[in-house]
Amino acid sequence: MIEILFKSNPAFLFFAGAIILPFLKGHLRNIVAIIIPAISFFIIHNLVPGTLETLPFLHYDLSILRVDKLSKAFGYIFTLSSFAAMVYGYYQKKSLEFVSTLVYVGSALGVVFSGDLFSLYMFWELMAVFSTFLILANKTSKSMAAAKRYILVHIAGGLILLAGIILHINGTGSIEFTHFATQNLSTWFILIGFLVNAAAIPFSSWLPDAYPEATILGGVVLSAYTSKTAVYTLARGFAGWDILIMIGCGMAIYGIIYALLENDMRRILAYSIVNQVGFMVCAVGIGTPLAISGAVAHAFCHIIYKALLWMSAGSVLYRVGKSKCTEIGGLYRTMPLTLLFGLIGALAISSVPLTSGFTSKTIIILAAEYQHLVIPWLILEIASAGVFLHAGIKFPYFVFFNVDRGLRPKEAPPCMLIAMGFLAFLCIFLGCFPETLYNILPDAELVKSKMAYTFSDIYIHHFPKVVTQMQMLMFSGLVFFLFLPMLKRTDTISIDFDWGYRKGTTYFYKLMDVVLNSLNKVADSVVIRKFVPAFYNLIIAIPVFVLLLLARVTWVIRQASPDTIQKERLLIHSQLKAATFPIGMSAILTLILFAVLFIL
Amino acid sequence: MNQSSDPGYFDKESTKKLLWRLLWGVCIFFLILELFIERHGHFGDHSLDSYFGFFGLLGFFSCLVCILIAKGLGLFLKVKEDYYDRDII
Repeated sequence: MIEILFKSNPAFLFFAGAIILPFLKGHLRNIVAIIIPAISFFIIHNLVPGTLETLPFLHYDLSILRVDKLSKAFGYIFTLSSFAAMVYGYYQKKSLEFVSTLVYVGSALGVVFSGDLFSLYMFWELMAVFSTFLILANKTSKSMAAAKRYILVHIAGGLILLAGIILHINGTGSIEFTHFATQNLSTWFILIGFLVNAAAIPFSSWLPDAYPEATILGGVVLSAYTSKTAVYTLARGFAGWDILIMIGCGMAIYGIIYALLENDMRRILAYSIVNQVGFMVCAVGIGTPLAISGAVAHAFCHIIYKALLWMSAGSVLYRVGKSKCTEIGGLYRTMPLTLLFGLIGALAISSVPLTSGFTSKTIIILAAEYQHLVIPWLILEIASAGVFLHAGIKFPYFVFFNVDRGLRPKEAPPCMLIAMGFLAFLCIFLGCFPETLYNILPDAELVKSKMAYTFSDIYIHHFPKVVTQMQMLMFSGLVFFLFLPMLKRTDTISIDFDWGYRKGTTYFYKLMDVVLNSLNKVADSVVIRKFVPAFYNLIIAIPVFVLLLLARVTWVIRQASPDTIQKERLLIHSQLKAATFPIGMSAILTLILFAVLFIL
Repeated sequence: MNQSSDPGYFDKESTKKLLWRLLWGVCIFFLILELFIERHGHFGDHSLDSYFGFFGLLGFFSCLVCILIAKGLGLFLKVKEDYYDRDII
């Protein structure tokens, strides 16, 4: 059994590592943490597309390992980036973050390589649980609260996904995870479940809420897997669903606007994840083979440069202990290498020529062009200009330049510099020689037939593209510096969709409190205090009236004195109120009632 | 530690002036460079994006609009750091 597991999904190697790691100490532990992703990278490299390993479970065959070019591409980048993250985290003295990272990355690989919805769901939930530890490990009251909200959102998303999966299996009888062709309740639930993890609007706010509260290593690790796993599942299940184009464009713009408003450097980067994932979601919505390959290529490059940006922000946080733009600045003097690597990440995310963003984002924009999607094309171009604004310039400017606040921290530790250097190298390498990347894409041949892929082809034969791109970016940069006074940071946060569950629910509670309790009060005064006594009096009054009517007849016959009448009248009243009749009287009344009923 | 007595390279006024010139220079350079290249519209030969300086203008105005929108929304959306920590009941 165990042998089958190890032979199959690369996730289990990570899980095994997570079990061993707490028993190791010092350098050995950190080296094992680095070696596991490295070995997995080669294991994934040796997986043959088309492989399918199944495991019988209940009445179904779980496809515990399914390999194709799509899953392999994500497998490569997940192991590559976790390798860099583990090198970066070498400074760690405890194993908690390593263990959570291993299980988290392992489950992300599990999602990517599992071919059925059951296993996918199991890995999906494991991912949510173990990523929470990376936020909790920060051990501040803010991070505790953020982690609580994070896990609640993911449990909600997971349950919607589960409901969709159950409905889907019930409807089709198949647990296989392939493209969903029909739109019905089950596929919509699954889509929403995936979109929650992709941080698609309006489910986006958990990401900028939680990631900036994570630990230094946690932020680096978290930036890569949850949203990109969701991009993978969307690419496999929902390619060509038109609504994703709209959602993607919305995310791209939303990310820019919010990143511009933000003060915390890691929150700026969090919003720019939403912006970048927007490009990928849009590409998935376009759905042509070229667009899907573009989404994968962009996810690949994005994970590298975004991890690099988070690493440089993490190094600053590690050395300075602060992350607000209003508290840092002028760090270029003592952290030049961190600045250099951060800058390479910033240029790559802005898709400056010679960096990886330029060779990956272009595929998505080209795919939009081929489908004659003019408005999405324009929005993507606007969004790429905006990326330069918030991530390309704003992040390095406010962190490393701006005002000198007298901070003179030491340069980042060697482990961090090595990891950043490695990723910075990849950013430039993929920008100059993207053929390596294009070869692992789902439709490698198609991409290579549409895109320039050699250095000379990109930068000499297609020079006009370089000129227009540089023109757009430089003018964006000009705007940034011309309007810098408008971008001055304030010590604030911005209201986002999470207002709904952080404040909105409290207001809802208060509203319900006012509405329901005042309803209660009205009901109390009208029904309990007025209507019920009145009804009670009525119930008493009717029999008294009837009895007095009967009694009056007897008084006339008996020619009773006024004293007797008065006495008997009071007796009737008191007996009826207390409901104490002599048995004979009750019997007679019952008989009369039956007689009346019989006649009626 | 004292910034006035020891201004870093990028804090000097002369450097700032140089960088400003460089920025304008690069913008104009890429604008002029466009005169010497042959390019076509992405959506047909006469689509809007085939005109001279389209991408420069696109970059300039889209970023300007983004900043203005962000500034405008900021009036409604920006709140104090402790906003969520305050009890409202």
